[in-house]
Order: sequence, then C-alpha cells, then structure tokens
Amino acid sequence: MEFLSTNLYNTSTAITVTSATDTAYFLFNPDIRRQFVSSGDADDNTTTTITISFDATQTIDRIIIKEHNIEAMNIFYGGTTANTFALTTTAGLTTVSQFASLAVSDLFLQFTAQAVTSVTFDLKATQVANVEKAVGFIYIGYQELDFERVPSSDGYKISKDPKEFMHELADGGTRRQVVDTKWKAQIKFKYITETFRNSLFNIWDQQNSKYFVPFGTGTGWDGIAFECVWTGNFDFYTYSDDAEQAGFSGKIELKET
Amino acid sequence: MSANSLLGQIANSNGKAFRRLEIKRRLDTGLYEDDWLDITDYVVKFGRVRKEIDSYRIGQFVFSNMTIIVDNKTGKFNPADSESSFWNGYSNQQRTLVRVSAGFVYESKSNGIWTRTEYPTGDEKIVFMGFISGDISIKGDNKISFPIAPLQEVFRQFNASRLTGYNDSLTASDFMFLLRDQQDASSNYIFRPFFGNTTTKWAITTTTVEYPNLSTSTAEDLLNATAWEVVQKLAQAENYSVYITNDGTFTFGPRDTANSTSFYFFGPGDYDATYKRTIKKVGQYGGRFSKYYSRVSVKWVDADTTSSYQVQSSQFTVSAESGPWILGEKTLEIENFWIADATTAGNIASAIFDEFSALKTEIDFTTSFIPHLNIGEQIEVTYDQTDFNPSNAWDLSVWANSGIPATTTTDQVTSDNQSELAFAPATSLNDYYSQQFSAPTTGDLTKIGLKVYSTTTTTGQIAFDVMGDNGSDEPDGITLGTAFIDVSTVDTSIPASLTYYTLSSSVSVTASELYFLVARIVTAPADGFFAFRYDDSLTADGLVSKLSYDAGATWTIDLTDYSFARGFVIETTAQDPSNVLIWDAGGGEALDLQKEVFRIISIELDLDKLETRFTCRQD
Repeated sequence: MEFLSTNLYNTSTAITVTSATDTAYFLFNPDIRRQFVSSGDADDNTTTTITISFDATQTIDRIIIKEHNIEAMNIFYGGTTANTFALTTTAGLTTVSQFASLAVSDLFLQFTAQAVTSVTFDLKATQVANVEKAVGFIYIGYQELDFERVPSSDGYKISKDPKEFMHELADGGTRRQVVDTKWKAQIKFKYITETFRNSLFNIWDQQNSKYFVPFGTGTGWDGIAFECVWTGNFDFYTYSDDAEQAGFSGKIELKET
Repeated sequence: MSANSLLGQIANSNGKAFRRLEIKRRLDTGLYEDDWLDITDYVVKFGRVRKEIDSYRIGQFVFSNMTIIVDNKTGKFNPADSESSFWNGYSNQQRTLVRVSAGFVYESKSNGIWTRTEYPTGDEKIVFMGFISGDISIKGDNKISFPIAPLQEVFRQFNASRLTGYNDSLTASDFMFLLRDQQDASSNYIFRPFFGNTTTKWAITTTTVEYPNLSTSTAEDLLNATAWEVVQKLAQAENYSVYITNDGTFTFGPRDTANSTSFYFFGPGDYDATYKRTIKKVGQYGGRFSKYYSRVSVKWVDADTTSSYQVQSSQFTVSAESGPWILGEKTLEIENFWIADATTAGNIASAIFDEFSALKTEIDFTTSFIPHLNIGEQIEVTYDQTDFNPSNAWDLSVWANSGIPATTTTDQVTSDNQSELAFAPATSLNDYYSQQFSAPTTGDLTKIGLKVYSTTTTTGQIAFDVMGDNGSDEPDGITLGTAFIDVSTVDTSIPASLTYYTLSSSVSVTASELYFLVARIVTAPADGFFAFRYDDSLTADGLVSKLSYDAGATWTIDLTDYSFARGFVIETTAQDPSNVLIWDAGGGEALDLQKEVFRIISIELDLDKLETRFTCRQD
C-alpha cells in the first residue's frame, strides 16, 4: 500500500505520438474509457510510439498503464531502446520493461529508481491481432510513502461512488443517470510506529493530491490506483494504548480528485 | 430500442449522462479565439436553462439567462490581470462566449477499444449559447457566479441606429442580412462572431414587403430602438417567427406548424416499449383562461379610424356554443404600424384568433432528462391515474369482444387495444366509438350536432374529436377539433332534438372528403363508469345523429340513409359489465389523458438535477 507522487506530466505538449495526435491528451485523462487510439496502425507489424517528455530530469520508479489492449510493447527512457527499466516486481513478467505476451488490460510497473528526461512506449502488437492500439491512461511518477504494513480487513474500506441522479417516476418506478464515478477509501490503523506516523503526517501536511495504490503488483493487479486528496483531520497522534510504546491510531480518508 | 440511440438512452433506466461547459475568450485584438475551452471540471452548479414562447403562433420567443457557479480555488476565474486566470493574456471576461452541452453517453468496448457516443449527436447536444454579461460575484468560499445572457442579448445591446446599410427599399429579410453582414470601419464583423463566425448559422427566409420607415439610420422608428426590437417588430409584421436555436442559429421565417408527433410521454396507466415512462409528476393541467380571447384586434395604421383595425372575433349569441357568452368577451389588442396592408393585418389577426379563441388546456409536467426537444414541437401525453386493484376487473381488458362488427345491443364497441380510441374498420360504418362522414361542402366545421343521453351517470366529461381518414376507412389519429360534453348537461332519455357543441377549433373540411367523429373519455365520472355502446333503440325516432355545420349558413349531414344508425349511450353501473367495454373504472381520478396531443410552449432543463420540465398547450 503506498502513496505515489502526482502524475509527472499533465499537458498534451509533453506527449508525442506517431499517430492520432488528437487523442493523445486522453493519456493523462483519468477517465480510462477515453483512450488514446492509434489511427492507421491496425497492424501488428506497425509500431505506434508514445513519448512523454519532461521539462527537467525526473527520477521515477513507477509506471501505471490502464485500459490498454497491447500484447507486445517496449518501454524505455531517453529515446534509446536499450534503456529499459529494471523491474523489481516481476512475478509472471519480464525483468525489464519489454513485454511480448501481455494478456491483461492494466499494468503496474515498479522498478529501480531511474533518472529520465523522457519515457517512450513502443506499442507493437495488440491482444486481438491487428487492431488499433489503445491506451486509456499512463501514469509516470515515484513512490513517496510505502506503508509499513497494510491495514486489517476491517480497517480498509474502499468503494467507487457514483455522482448519480435518481428520478422517481409518477408510477413509482426509478430511473438513474450517472455522470461519473469516483473512488473513496478509508484506512484505519492501530499501533503504528512514530516513524510511520510522522511519514503520514508529512503526506497529509503537504495539502496536495497524491496517487494511492493499495495493492500494486506485477501480475494479477486489480487496477486500483487513483489520484486523491486526504480529507479531514490528521488524528494519528492518538495513542493506541496506555503504553505509549504500543503506537498510534488514526484514520485516513481519501477521495479521488 | 437499442441503448445506442438517443431514444434508447432517454428510456434507459440506468444510463450515463454528461454536462459540458465551454468558453471562447477574446484575444487582445478583440476577436474571439478559434477553439472552445472546456472548463467543466470547475463547475460547481450549472443552473437551469429555460426557453419559452408565449404562444407558438404569436412567436414571442424567450431564452432565459443562466447563472453558472464555478470553483475558483485555483484562481482560474480571477480577472484577466491575474496571472492564474484563464483570461490572463486575453481580453476582459465580459462577453466571453459560453456554450453549454448536455446529453447522454453510450460506451461500448470491442477488442480492448472503448467507443463513446454522445447523444444527441452533433450540435443537437448544445442546450444553450450565450455570453458572460453582468456583475461577476466572487463569493467568500472561492466560488464565482457568472451571469450568462442568451445570444439574442447581443442584439438588445446594440442600438438599431448604429447599423449602416439602410435604404429606401429595405425588406425585413434585408434587415436580417444587414445584421449578419454588419461590419465595423475595419471590416470586422460585429454580430457574426457570436454565431459561429460564419453565414451558416443564419437561417433567413427572404421577404418582399418594403419598409420605407427604415430608410435611414436616423429614422424615427430606429432612433431609440434596439436591433432586437426592430427584429421582433419586423417578424410580427411579416407574421413570421424569429428566434435563436439552442446551437446558436439565428432563424427568421414562417412558423413551423408541422403536425407530426416528436415524442410520446407516458405516465402511469400505459406503457410503451420505445418511449417507456418518463413523467415524474404533473404540475398543472387545465384550461388556460388567461390565454383565451374571443376577439383579436390588430391596429396596423396610426390613424384612429375603423380601417386602421383588422378584427377577428367569435360570434356573440346567448347559447351554450358561444364562447363570449360562456367565457366572457376578452380582447387581445396588437399594435404594429409596420404591417404592410390590411390583408397582412387580417392574416395576423386570424392566426392569433385561431390559437386563442377556444379555451385550450395546458399541461405542466416534469420528466427525467430529455434534452433534445424544442419549442413548438408536437408531443403526445398519456397519463392515467386509475388505481390498479387486482380484485377490480374494470379497465383491465376488453370485455365482450365477440361483436366486431357489433350487430346487437350487447356487443362491445371498441378495438382490442383498450388504450386506443376505437378504430374499427368501417366499410359499412360499423364503427362505434367513431362515425365516418363525408363533408357535403367545403368550409369550416365549427360545431357538431349530436344526440347524447345518459341514464343515470351525471358527472364527468366526454369528448368527440374530429379526425381525418387515414385512407383505409379509419380515423387517422390526428385531432382537428374537439367538442367537449359535460355529462351533467345531457338528457336522461333520447333527446328530441340535436344539441350543438362548439368545436375547440374550427375544422377546415373539403367537400366529399371523409372524416371521423371519435368519442373518448376526458374525465371519468365520480358516480359510475362510462361505456359507449351501440343502441338500436336510438333509431326509434328515425334520425339518430347528424353533424351540422354552422358558420353563418347551416348545412346538415343526414345519416338516416345509412343502414345502421348510431347513437351514443352513457350507461351506469347498472349495466352488465360483460356486455360493454370499461374504459375507466373507479372514480375520483383527477387526471386521465389518453394520447392527448399538445405543442410545447416552454422547456426548462435543470442541469443540476438532470430533469426537464415541459409546459405544453393543447394543439
């Protein structure tokens, strides 16, 4: 369970694509159904390239790709294909950021921290052969806080909440219209260390948004990762027990931005 | 109905909707930027969009203002001199163009690729076009209210005497083209930037009447008039309508009186698989006395002489058919000295009289989100508040369906679909709720003479609609005029003579053309039920029914030469229910509308609740 930085790019000027430039800005749009979709590249022998460049060198260790249909792709930095990322969670995947037979639509990549000025995604083949390449969302950033442990099951509540409009019709029936859905999470801890408490306070005190990834994993990832704000007070100064060495208790209320 | 369509999304019980707010700022040159900027993410409250017309046939169209509240925590909506502002590097926030779109989203996935389709499509999804105009209020909680004026305001904010290009032979359409093509001294268009910066957003129908009173910019009629006032006055003088559509098209032309139903609304009591039920509640329903006028006077010349007026009025007689006698004399006075001649003034008076001379009902109801309908469109409403009682056999099915065509007094008298009017095939006039007749002469049918009696039912209201023939000896379903009959006024035995009932609007009939008279229930009785049935006994006097034309001269349609003479009987609970069709059972229903046809006169979209409120007028 971890907090990551905000996405290190958020303008279309940071993105260069080899086709369908009009959909490039969907890559940082959190609505994953609004995808970047290549145009004229519905051929597994044709590579579609996405390059995301940064104004200044960034040190990154996380890449998230959501709602894609890619089977084979290479990810590298600095414009050089050999500059692959050394993956640190590789169960079921390769050890470097070159993939030949992906069968999932969401990918969470954790790798050794690397200083980069750009990150390139060469999209080669699609899971259903010879269709346009599609990517719903790309996150590039770094870890800010790794939770010292995960909460107990009853200390972790997560939901996807709709902004919905309910209509009660004249006959008593119901009609529902949804504008959007957002994640919401509540995490409760007891007996955390002072070190962890201070780290949590630093995150809360920054008063800006973070990326929350509850269970990032190389294979079988549930795709849950969202930019959020920590709402409400910081109450981890509460002692969990009379014995102060037992640690501290509190809760984190996160709402997707 | 597929969910991948506008109708499918409206009827979808669980769908996705969108609202979008976009702006176009003015560059420091004063010209508008090319592209729209989407600022939807900052909207806290969209507000409501309301458009209305006081009468479709008069054509005073109004688009209300909007107030949109946005979140200004990031300073994006600060004045232009603030570095964080969207307007930094652009001109003042005032007169920033605003476009609001709303509708539904259909999403589907194939081969890992999502396809997203918005409905309505194209420019139909635009629900409001305007510009920021007015005081911008910054609230203490970092929210800002933007007052948005509709596009027609751009003409209200421009004095007509500033326009150039007046001439001695200016027509109404010339004036509209003048607005479209108006430029400043540097050849910059003045009004086009508000209308897509092209000519394609100007739908102007050419006219021929010249207005010498608009020959120069110093003309008396222009000095203190806004451009919009001149536009409206010319539209009235031409008997045209002028309005700006949702997507920002300036439209000047004849009024659209198309008689095709755009949408069908259903409440309780009926169901349609395509339109489903969308009505949430009915606010008001009833005759709109405030919009009844027995007399319309159009003054088209300033001189106070008889010839300066063109008047249309109802006949004043002391009778049940006389509107002025029953409802009182009310005069609508219109004055427009730009009207070219007496004929045009007479046509204007006639058009307004046709709309207002009958007491028409209006209905106000709220629905789930329906974004695409427009003022003037024809709609149909079905709303039946009959309580559903499983132990009650009334109103659930057709009874005694053995008698088509009916040959005995106990056979039922309608079609299998109890929610429809009776459209039984009538090759030999064996239709029961409806009677076919051939107009003996060309003219205006204003009344019908009927013999109607009820044995004991004394409350409720029935109606007879005049409809055309659909080419197959069946009513075509289009109501041309209606005669309403309060059951409390009918005889309890076979009447000796006809009672003449005035139609809600006169029906222009052509000699030898076929028409139908179709009976229906308007309000169920409190003391029983209605059942229309064929009754042989009504032939006893040899003349059962005749339809009469009365507009000065009287002509009569004599039905005695048909092999089956028909009459209408209203029975009570004493009647054996297995022998008649029950259309409405139980009592005390306040509202029972069966495919009533209306025309929309106002629409209010609440973009924060995603609901639509319609006000419609009987058509």
